[in-house]
Amino acid sequence: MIEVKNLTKKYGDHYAVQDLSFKILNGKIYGLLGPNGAGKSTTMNMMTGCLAPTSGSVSINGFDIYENAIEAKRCIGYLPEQPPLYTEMTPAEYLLFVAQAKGVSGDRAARQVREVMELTRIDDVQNRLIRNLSKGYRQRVGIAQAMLGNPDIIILDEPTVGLDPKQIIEIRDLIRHLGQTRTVIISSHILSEISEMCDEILVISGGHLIASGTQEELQARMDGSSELHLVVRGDEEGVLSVLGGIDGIDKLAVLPSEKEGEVALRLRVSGDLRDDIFFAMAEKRYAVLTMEQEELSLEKIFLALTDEKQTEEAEDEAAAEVEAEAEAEAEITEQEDTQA
Amino acid sequence: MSAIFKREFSSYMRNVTGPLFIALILMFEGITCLVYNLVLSSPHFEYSLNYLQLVLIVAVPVLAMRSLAEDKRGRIDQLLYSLPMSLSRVVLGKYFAMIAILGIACGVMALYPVVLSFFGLTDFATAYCSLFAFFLLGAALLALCMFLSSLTESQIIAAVLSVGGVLFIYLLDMLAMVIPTNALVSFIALIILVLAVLAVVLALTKNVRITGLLAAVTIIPMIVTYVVDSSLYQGLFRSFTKSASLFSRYTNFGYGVFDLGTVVYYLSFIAFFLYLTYQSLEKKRWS
Repeated sequence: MIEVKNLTKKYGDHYAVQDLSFKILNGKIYGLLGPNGAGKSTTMNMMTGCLAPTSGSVSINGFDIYENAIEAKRCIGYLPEQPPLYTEMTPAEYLLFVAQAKGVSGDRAARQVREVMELTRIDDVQNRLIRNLSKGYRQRVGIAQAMLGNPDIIILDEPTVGLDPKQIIEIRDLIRHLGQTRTVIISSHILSEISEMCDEILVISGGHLIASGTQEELQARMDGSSELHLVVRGDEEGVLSVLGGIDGIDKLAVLPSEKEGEVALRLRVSGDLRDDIFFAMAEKRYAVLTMEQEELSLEKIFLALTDEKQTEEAEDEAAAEVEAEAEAEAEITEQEDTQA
Repeated sequence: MSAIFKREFSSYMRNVTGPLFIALILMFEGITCLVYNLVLSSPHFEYSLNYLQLVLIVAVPVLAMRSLAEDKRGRIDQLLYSLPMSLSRVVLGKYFAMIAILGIACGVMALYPVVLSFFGLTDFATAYCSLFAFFLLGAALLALCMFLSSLTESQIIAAVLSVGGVLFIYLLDMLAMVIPTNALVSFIALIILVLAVLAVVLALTKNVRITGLLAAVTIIPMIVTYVVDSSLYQGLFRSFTKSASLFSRYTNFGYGVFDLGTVVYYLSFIAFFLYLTYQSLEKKRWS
């Protein structure tokens, strides 16, 4: 189990990671999701003792990564963003070195090296220099290196970056296989990858943990702010007063209506309010012409979570554009009228 | 530690630098030995060894330049940081690998006095003491150059820094001759030197308390002694500079003087720079 408490890393005035706290439980695959520069690598480096936090603590199976560094590090295997390979060695030599450096001795080291080479399928290149290997093989040597010493927890920083589709599938299979017996933490900015492989997702943006949970939980959480597009025949004031009587509307925007006597609205709502809105409108004899609820995909959740502010701005811009278009159209009709 | 040592050693031997280092030393020892001992028929092996210190100015930076700079450039240091092993063991493993290479060169040279003894009266004690001092001198310079290599990602910069550093130490003897013996000058120079060392310690450890403590135990006694009896400082900086020179101390061994103080000095010089190397690695983690 990994416990991260109030982890903060500050470079000058800039916070790379700010007040991050989470727990990693045994036996699951965790995904650290976030855009580039969100602080994923910084967090992983701090979790593995490669980087000291400005404040906060990381404990691994109860061992503090600084106070009981050696015990804590025995529990983790780490593949940094760039695989740390001695390129003038062969994979077999390199892996034997890492096994010995991790304190695995004699025959056991040789046996473990054979095992991980089989698992990662690098035995056919084991006697070639790492320098001459392709990126996919290098990545696999890096993963093999992390598996040595039989750690409970394997941390892989962007393990599939720069690989071709076939290699990506192979690495994903390997990670899934690892996840059957160990805790695996991977980081990525690619959503499909995280949603395909991981049991639990931690979303990081701007150095903050902004959401965590299973994919379903995240989806459920975001259902709370799904979007509803609504067109009602009636006067604006009346329609708004009806909506005012319904609980659960977080945000409401009146869009320029396409036709006289119709009100177009965009709502951000918690839960499913379609029934409530429909019957409330019916009671006051307002006809609901259009009602569309947009289910948010993981992609949208990710964007909404990491980029909330920006998307809002973009939406405002879009609304302004619509208005401008409407005005332009109105002008054209006016001109046509005068011509007539 | 043994895993690091083995890897580094085999990497040096497979890479050109290990054999190059050994070849440089053996080739120049071969030349001086040929001229001195064979052509000029002198049985004194130590004299030929005396010239060899010049080779160290080039050979040591060649060997040490990649020790840590290379790891930094290839981001292999992240592996070292995440190993369940103290960084001090990493530093020692890497250092001993270089020492082993130096040891091979010295081991081969150890045969020379035996060969010379067939042709004349060789003083084995002086010859081997001298060789031992040569080994220690090389070891001390390797520690310094390893520290300099830990400061940069580029092997070239590490090599340039190392040649500069070793050359400066070599020229310290000459520098000592022109230093005034005046007590006040000595006092100020020593204070500046202590402050410079403290600044390095502070920059590497970022520990104000330790630095403050070190400052208190060094500077206060210095001021007190100067106030009490300033004549103590007469010529002190000059003799300090002279004794700090690794090379002039080595030359004494060539004259058949086994100076235990020099051995202790070399060993503490090595310990000091290994500690600085360790701190320099730790510092990267804390940056």
